[in-house]
Amino acid sequence: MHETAKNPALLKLDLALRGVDAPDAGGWLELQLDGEIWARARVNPDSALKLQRGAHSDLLCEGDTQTAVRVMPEPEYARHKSRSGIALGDIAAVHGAYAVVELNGGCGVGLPGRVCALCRGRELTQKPGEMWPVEDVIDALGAIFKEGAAEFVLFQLGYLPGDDAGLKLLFPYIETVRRHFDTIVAVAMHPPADPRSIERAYASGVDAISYNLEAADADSLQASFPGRARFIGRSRYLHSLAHAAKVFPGGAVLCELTVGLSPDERIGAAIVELTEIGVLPILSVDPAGAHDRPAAAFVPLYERLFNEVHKAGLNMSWARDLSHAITPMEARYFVLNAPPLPLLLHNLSKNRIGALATRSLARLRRRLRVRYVRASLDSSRL
Amino acid sequence: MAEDLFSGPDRRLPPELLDVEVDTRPLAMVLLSRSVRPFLLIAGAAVFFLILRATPPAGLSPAGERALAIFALCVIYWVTGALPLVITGLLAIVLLGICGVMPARTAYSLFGSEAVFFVLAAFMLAAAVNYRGLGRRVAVIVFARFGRTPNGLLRAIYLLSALMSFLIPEHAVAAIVFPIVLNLADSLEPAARRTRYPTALFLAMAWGTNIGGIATLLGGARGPLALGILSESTGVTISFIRWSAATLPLVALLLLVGYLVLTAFFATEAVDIGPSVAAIRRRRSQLGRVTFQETAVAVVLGVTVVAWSLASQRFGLAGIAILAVVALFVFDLLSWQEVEGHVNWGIILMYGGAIALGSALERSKAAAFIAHRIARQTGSPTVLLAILSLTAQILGETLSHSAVVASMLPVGLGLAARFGLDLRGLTLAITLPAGLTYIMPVSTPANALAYSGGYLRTRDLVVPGIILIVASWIGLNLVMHLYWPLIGLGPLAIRR
Repeated sequence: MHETAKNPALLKLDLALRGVDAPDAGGWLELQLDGEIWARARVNPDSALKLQRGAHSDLLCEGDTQTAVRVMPEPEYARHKSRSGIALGDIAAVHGAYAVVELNGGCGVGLPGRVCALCRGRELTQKPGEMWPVEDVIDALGAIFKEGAAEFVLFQLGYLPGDDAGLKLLFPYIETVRRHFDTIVAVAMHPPADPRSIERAYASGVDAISYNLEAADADSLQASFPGRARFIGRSRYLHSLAHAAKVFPGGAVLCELTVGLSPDERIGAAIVELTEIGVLPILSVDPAGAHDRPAAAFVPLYERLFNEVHKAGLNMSWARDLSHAITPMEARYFVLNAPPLPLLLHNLSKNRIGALATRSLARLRRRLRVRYVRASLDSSRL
Repeated sequence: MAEDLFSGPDRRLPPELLDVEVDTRPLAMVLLSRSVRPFLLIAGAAVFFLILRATPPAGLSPAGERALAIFALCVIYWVTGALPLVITGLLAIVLLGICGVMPARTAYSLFGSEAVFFVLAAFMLAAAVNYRGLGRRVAVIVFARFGRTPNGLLRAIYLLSALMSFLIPEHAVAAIVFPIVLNLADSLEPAARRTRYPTALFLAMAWGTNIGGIATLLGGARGPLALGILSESTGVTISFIRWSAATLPLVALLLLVGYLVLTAFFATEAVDIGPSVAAIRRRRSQLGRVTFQETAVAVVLGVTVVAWSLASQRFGLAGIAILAVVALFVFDLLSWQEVEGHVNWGIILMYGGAIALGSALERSKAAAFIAHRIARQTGSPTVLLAILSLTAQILGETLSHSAVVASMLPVGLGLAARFGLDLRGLTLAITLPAGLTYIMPVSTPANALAYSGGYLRTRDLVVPGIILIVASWIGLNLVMHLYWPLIGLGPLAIRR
């Protein structure tokens, strides 16, 4: 813990690997570490990392080493109900700085421990399940933003058959969120077969999108997510990511890779592959696949993450305040003498004026880049 | 507690998102292209007023000068796209009356051109082919029958796109064939998708459609527009059969050259198309039996084409086309709702304006005046025709084909009069190359759709595209000088 105490990103990784022994708590804890780094830790009574709750601050202890952390309290909003009487906590959860709304059951994409039936190998051909009414989602998000529990919205969409991978379902939500809140809207979903869906997603108001491979190479995808390998295929992920990287702002297309699902060198190769097509990789951890390796064993991988993203010149600010994965910006803690410019830009985008500028520029970019052509084809081309 | 959005009305795709394009050029270029519009609008208006206020030069009447001012304004707006084509067309008609070039009543009456109604009816026929599923069935059957090998599939897409464009407008053909080609390309194994074969499939669709689209008056609306300008300005016309007779050898030549270029540049690798063949078989099995409606639409279309070929002089192209549309409604093969969704009403209005403007330039002798000025630069009609055809072809790559025809033809007709050229031959020499576009995504709906598949990059098309542009230009000029005189259309022949 001596090393991790000095390096918040390493501590985040350690927490993801070993979890935390927290008395009177169960499930998962959201923590804020030094450097405003968000971390998500599984409560594990066997972990050597102990949480000591205090009146004013919380401490993470291992042996005689202590690190101050902040355990995020359960948000107030979760105790309230929507206009239809649904518990707001059922509609949206808060992870890091994101209000996460799962639609159609969500999927493993972006959240640990959630592997849907498709990922396990079963083709899903049925209609989607019932969805939260748009108005109730707005109630939940309104309460979250009012409380200050989150800054951004993340829609997490489970797999749906069809060329657009279910994107159509999202449009009413995105349109309504855009109308009610001035925020960044991110979407995590499976890649669509029709690349035009990606352009429609951007045009509809999605600011950042992720198609999360999780398994870095084809063999691991087949082994860990046979359904995704069979019914979607790794090439569609890469094809969609590459297309999205041309459509969305630089750095706003994300792909999560999970450490532990593939050998480290293949994850390294995938990081290079993704950054070369303009996609920002983020790294989460599967503790079971890590086979009790210490956090320090993964340092070269995270070092590579930062270096490759920096080399590709990608904006690192779009991936921020995620609690379940380490972002390239957080990976700077693993690099000696990290260049200052990415951090400077990142800090600029985090303050109130910077965040406003980011949102305004995203809107302006959309206005400039998106064009609407009549369905009967533009008359100018006849 | 919750709402089933899958079946609810909110589930549908917002109409504005149906045809979204994201401009992926560098932001500075996007910004520049967006901010330039106000300047273009002002520039057009400035040129208009400058010409209007200048003293008419010798040989140009005041009415001709005013027609020229309107023409300059419209060319600037059409070429730059500062205003939608349709709005510029309407502006032309209004200005003709306001500026006193011709009585407003006359200007508006030119909207009643036969060409406008022919285009309208052609759109309606294409709507029936599309909505009744005839086009899709034909495409799937042909691809399943002839597309069992990589080159066989390529040829099937290429030739079918070309042949379908003989009968229905290019954009309708592309709309029918594109989803099938996209499905075929996406069905390929990843290794096959990384080859240039999928690019070849999309190009086969786009190039086949564009080359086939010049074969008859039905392939693109620029043909009827040219015919409208020709007949309203000079009283001369070209029959359906003569138009096709003039174009078919060129189409055959270009289809051959296009196929050679396709296979030389894009489809040389051995590719496993097993999954695509399986996909097309699945589609075929989903089609089921031929319906009465499909058969009936095919019959109506067939009879219409025969009537255009044999009786267009007597009943007129538009007359036959509209009777065919009436037949579609009589047999319940088309609904007005479908027509409203399919017909591009904007282009109909734009054509009215362009035809009126062309007529005004001719009547006021403004076209003859410009032609006289241009004619001073060259004394050779052969060189002049070569330049006009090359200009039309290059402009067609980046501009609306209709805008190219509307801008160039009135002046071209003036030049024809000046040099004593056959008006019909000159009309073809400008109209045909405007439709032969191979590189740019903005040039035709077929190219735009081909690019939207995600397998094409402009830089891959530059060399093969230039080869085809040059081949088209040489081919057109050869056909123009060697073949057209044999069927009485030689542009160098005495004016008729």
